[in-house]
Amino acid sequence: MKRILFAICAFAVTLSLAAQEKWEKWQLSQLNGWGVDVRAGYVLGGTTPLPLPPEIRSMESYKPQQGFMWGVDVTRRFNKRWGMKLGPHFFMQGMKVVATVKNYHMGITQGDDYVEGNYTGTDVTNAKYLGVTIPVDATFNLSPRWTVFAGPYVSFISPIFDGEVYDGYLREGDPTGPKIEIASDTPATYDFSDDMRNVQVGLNIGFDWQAVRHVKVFGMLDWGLNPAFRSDFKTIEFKMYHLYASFGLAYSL
Amino acid sequence: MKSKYLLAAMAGAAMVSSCFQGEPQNSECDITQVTLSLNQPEDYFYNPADTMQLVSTADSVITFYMRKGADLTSITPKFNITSGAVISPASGVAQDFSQGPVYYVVTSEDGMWNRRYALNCMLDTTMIADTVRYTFDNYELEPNGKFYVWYEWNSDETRNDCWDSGNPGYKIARSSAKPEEYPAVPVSTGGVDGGPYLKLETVATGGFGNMVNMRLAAGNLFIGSFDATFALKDQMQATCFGRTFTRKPQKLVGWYQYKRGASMQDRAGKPYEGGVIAGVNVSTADMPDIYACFFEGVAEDGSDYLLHGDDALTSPKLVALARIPHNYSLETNQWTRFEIDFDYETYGKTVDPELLANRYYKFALVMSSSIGGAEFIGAVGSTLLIDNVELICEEEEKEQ
Repeated sequence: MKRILFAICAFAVTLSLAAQEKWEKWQLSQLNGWGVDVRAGYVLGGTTPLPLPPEIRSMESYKPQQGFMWGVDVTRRFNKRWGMKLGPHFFMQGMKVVATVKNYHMGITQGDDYVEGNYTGTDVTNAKYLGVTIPVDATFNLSPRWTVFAGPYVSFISPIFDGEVYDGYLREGDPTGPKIEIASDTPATYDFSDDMRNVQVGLNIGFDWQAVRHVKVFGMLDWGLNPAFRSDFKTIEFKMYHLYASFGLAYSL
Repeated sequence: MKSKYLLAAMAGAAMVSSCFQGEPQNSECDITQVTLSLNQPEDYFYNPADTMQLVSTADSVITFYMRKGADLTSITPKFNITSGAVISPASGVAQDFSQGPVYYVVTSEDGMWNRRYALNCMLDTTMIADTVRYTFDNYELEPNGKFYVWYEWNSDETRNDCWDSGNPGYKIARSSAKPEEYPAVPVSTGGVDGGPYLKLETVATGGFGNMVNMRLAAGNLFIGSFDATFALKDQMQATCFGRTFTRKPQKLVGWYQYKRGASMQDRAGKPYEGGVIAGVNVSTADMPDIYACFFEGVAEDGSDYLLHGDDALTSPKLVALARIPHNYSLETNQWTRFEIDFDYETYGKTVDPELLANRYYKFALVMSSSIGGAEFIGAVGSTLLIDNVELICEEEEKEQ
């Protein structure tokens, strides 16, 4: 990971050296002033335990779903290098993950009834989130065409998080409990949507690359710092975090 | 630009794949199968296949019933256990079973879990009387206190745990249910003789039941065993009907009351529109089922043969059947007597007295508050009350 970061930095510095003389060509009116970027992009990612616990054996498939975002950033440049940006990003994003798990401790509540135990088999998770993220980023111009930014964000989310387990078995209570087989034609479904946090905070990092005048290519990562589920949610034993990457175009007004 | 994206994608893929950790060791520690290795299996069992038993994960007591005269002092059991687990004492070592059960401890591969099993080898001395009485007077809470189980006393004063019910399956769905809320419950007074009787009621299974499309549980009680392993997967296989029987049954008599629930629903929870269930034309009114099967209890390959929810009435192994008639309404709020002759004619088989003595045949009695209960069709609230069932058998020829 460190080596990758180092490589990216080295690459960026090389670029910045090569482009030293082009500040005037590429920097628009926002140099030393205000500006507005309108962004739209594709979102890829999901909600995942970090790191993956050994109980998760393999990922059979991962499908990003409805990954789309658009937003408006107000930018303010303080000098040649430093600035700030702030603005709402509206998103619709999701994932469908098919994973196999072994001896994965889980519990499901239905009203007053509770089934808990260790599950081995296939798990399908569907997650869909609709909401708005507001990042407050410091921006740094590496070169006339390259800008990197980073900062905290707060996110307001309307979540759906459900799924099913099948083709496996549950050992009720613990690994010595009675075995309950779960067939693929009668899966057991779950819905944890109500157990998710509606307000998230996290870290937003990314880059802008000035492709042509007025148009930037951007990439950024939204990394949730508080767990995706409420603290009183014990069904999934390990903590899950939102981790989303967005790629797209920004138009500078 | 392209190569940069490619690099980033490769780095991402490498990160994801490196996130998977090594496979954890097994935590399970089950005995899945026991085989007795015997030089002369026919000295111990009538049927050589009886030297092997599959063990359900719910069981911690394993019992082999043996012929009179079998030598219990040195028997060598061999075990199949969870991969990586360790059993003590070791598999394949002779033990003395004449002083009671031998205890085995299985420890999981990861060393975190263990299970203790009792293995019994005992002589089967059960004598079946001319009239077998099922009183429903003997019941108790299972070891965890969640639901009731029933048992009978043999004529020689030994306890007979012949009954099982779908209650263990209901426990999976409704962990919060009180023992009195289960589909099969005892009622302590008010039976035909004033004493206890059996109440079977079709009840809703709550959120979990809906989750797996099993919205109701018919109250049932039957001779055999319920294997909760399959309660969610293949519920027909969960109900295993039948116990070895050494008499020829002739007549089933008993007392019942029945009240049907208000609205009949199908598996999806929608109003039931009528159809044929278990060979009976069922309209939109629920009905109970009571039947007794006498059948050949050994499969072609010599292994144990049991009836299940889906073939109890149609199995080619059936020798005789006694079933309550369904051609009139069975609803009644007073104790009503039924008396049904076993039908041997339909099946065209003769009962071989020697095979009968050699434990070839089995018998099952099944009672359910909804005839479609096995398919999750029924009316919540349908209630079948049962008391003092008797099985009248052909008198044994008196030995001179």
